[in-house]
Amino acid sequence: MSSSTRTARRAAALLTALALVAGGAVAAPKTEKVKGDAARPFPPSYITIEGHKQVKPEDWKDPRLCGQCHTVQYEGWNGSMHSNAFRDPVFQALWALGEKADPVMRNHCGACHTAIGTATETVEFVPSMGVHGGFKAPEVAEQGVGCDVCHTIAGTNINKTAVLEHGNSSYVVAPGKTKRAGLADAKSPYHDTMKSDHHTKSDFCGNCHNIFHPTNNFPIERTYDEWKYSIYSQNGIQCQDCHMVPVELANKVADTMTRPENMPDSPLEGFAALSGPLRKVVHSHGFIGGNAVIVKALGKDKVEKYEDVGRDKNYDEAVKRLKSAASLKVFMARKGDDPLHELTVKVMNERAGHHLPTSLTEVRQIWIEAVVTDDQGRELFRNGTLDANNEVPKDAVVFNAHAVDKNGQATQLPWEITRFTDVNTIPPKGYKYARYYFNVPADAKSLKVVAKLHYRSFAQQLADILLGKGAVTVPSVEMVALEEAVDLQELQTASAGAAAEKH
Amino acid sequence: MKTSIALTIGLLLSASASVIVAKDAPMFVWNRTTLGMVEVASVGRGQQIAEEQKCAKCHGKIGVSEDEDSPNIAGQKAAYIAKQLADYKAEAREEKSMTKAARKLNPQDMADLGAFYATQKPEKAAGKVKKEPVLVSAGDEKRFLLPCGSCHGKKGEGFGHEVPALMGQKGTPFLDTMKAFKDEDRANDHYGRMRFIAAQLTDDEIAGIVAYYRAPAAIAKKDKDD
Repeated sequence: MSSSTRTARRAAALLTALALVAGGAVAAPKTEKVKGDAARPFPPSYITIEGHKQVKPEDWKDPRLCGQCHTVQYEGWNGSMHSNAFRDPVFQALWALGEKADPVMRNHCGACHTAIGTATETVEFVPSMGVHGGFKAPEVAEQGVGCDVCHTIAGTNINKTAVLEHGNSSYVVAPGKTKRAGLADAKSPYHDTMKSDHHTKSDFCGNCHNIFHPTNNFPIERTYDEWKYSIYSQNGIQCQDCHMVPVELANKVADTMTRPENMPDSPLEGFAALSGPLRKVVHSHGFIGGNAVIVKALGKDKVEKYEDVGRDKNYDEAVKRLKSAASLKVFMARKGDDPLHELTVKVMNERAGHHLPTSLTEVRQIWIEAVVTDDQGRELFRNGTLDANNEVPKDAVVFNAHAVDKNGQATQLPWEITRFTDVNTIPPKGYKYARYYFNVPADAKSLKVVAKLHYRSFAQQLADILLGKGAVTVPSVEMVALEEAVDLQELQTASAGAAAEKH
Repeated sequence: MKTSIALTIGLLLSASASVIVAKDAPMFVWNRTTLGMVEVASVGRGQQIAEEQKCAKCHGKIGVSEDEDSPNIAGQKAAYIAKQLADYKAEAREEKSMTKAARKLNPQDMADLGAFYATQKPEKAAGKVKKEPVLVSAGDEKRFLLPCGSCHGKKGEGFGHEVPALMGQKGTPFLDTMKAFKDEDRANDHYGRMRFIAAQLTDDEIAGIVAYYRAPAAIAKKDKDD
């Protein structure tokens, strides 16, 4: 199947899913509570509480308290997707639709987006919020993946999961005075400390960044799996080595397959806490990928009050990461005297230790925009330019996945997914090709080829449905651009030579 | 750097507060070089510099001042003293006489002075306040206030290289310092930590904290004056 056809089908899938939502095909809210047991108290998530204790929101500290001694870390976290994990309105809307479709989705989604709200069972559905309803929780639970969520995780429940792999919030929470992290000699006058190797490895992140369907076990978000079977994993590079360091250093990690702590003259030297000892490596806590763009989309990248601090930085860092993740090459070919020319664009995943894109690959959009003009200024070919509705054209080459439900109908609602009928994401250090065909006028002497790779977190149509039409214009980031001149005489000579050699 | 500091100060504010912008002054930075100066500092040389600079005129021979208005520096954290001197020199902390004095010092002089005074015996706390104020022992998490002791040590003895000792401070300069932080007249605290804390405190709460940590001599003198 050609790239164009595949992409067109994806566009149709999107429309189908959106039509279902807009038409009210999703069932009314179900109110029955999903009951768990001692082994799995908050199904279908795999969160457990150490010692089977009863916990309440106050057992976790507000990040603003942590930030007074761990200020650098707080600044990185604030405004990150972790800090917005609960409040992100796109997530809230999708979660609300999930709640209406199947009550198990409250814990399935909530366990990673608000571990505190899930473990304390304090998340409430509010039908009047947003377009589709939304959720409320105690303030510390609404702070998403806050400091005390991660630093009180005491273990993994990997052996309890249906797929015997990290994922679906497969962790043990142990809120209290003991805070866990990678340092062996950390001392605090405010809390107890404990070294945790778990916190230093991708396995820790995999507890949430690896999501399989709660009933059919289909792997929907495979970020951890993608890393685990990559060259990064083979070289001992962990998620933390790229996502807890500035982008410039992350690029060095990817280029040299060297962990930051093993680099000479560590640029991460600093203090992990107020008045603490000088450390060779102090990690950033923004955990930045590409999706900080949501902050920009919602107009919340300005620093106007205390809640906003760090948001602008997170957006800038996300853009920098997107701009350094991939590279492009273009190849032009012509067969004999035929006016039909072939443009090949090679897209390489240079620096992401997982696929491009990753996470909700049926929603994310990375696509090529290609424009060819000749020496007389005539535009001979254009593909992948956003249309007047801010949508990716149906014939664009998009790198993502195509999801369907149990009836084989296209869907972008995670709880409906049974399989991917096509996966066109780009693996770590791997590449994909896109090919385009167009005619070149006989009087043209040279061509200018401009190829660009764009990213955005979701389509405009999806944003319109989830947030309301016109609520937000989904921004795109130009990841990389390449411009090349092609001498048609040279091209013809080269093509003829290649043809002769072949014969 | 300045922007970063301003932003971080902002994050420490309560929901009702606005973002504070740090003063336009060069900020001393703790790093391998500056910490190294403190580590190799000489107590003997520090004593010599103190004598040459006539520090005793205000701070007393060993750093215990004889008047109510000058702060005690005996037993203070060496790194803290060095940083304050650097900040005075750079005018990141304002006090004309101290800026004038600090201009004569190089960074190693400052570290040596810190080492000398850090090894001197501090004044004890008043001991008149039997019970720790709640803010000292427990803080107030609703206002995002950690207990004073969580940073300044259980007895107010200071912590690490950044957090100064409070125990045995003269009452007047201690009070003035807290008010300066509260009013943002002093802005050489990294990340605005003390500005945030002081801004949350009422005058009575500040007075209670000062009364708990202050030195007995100051109280005796004040009592006498009263």
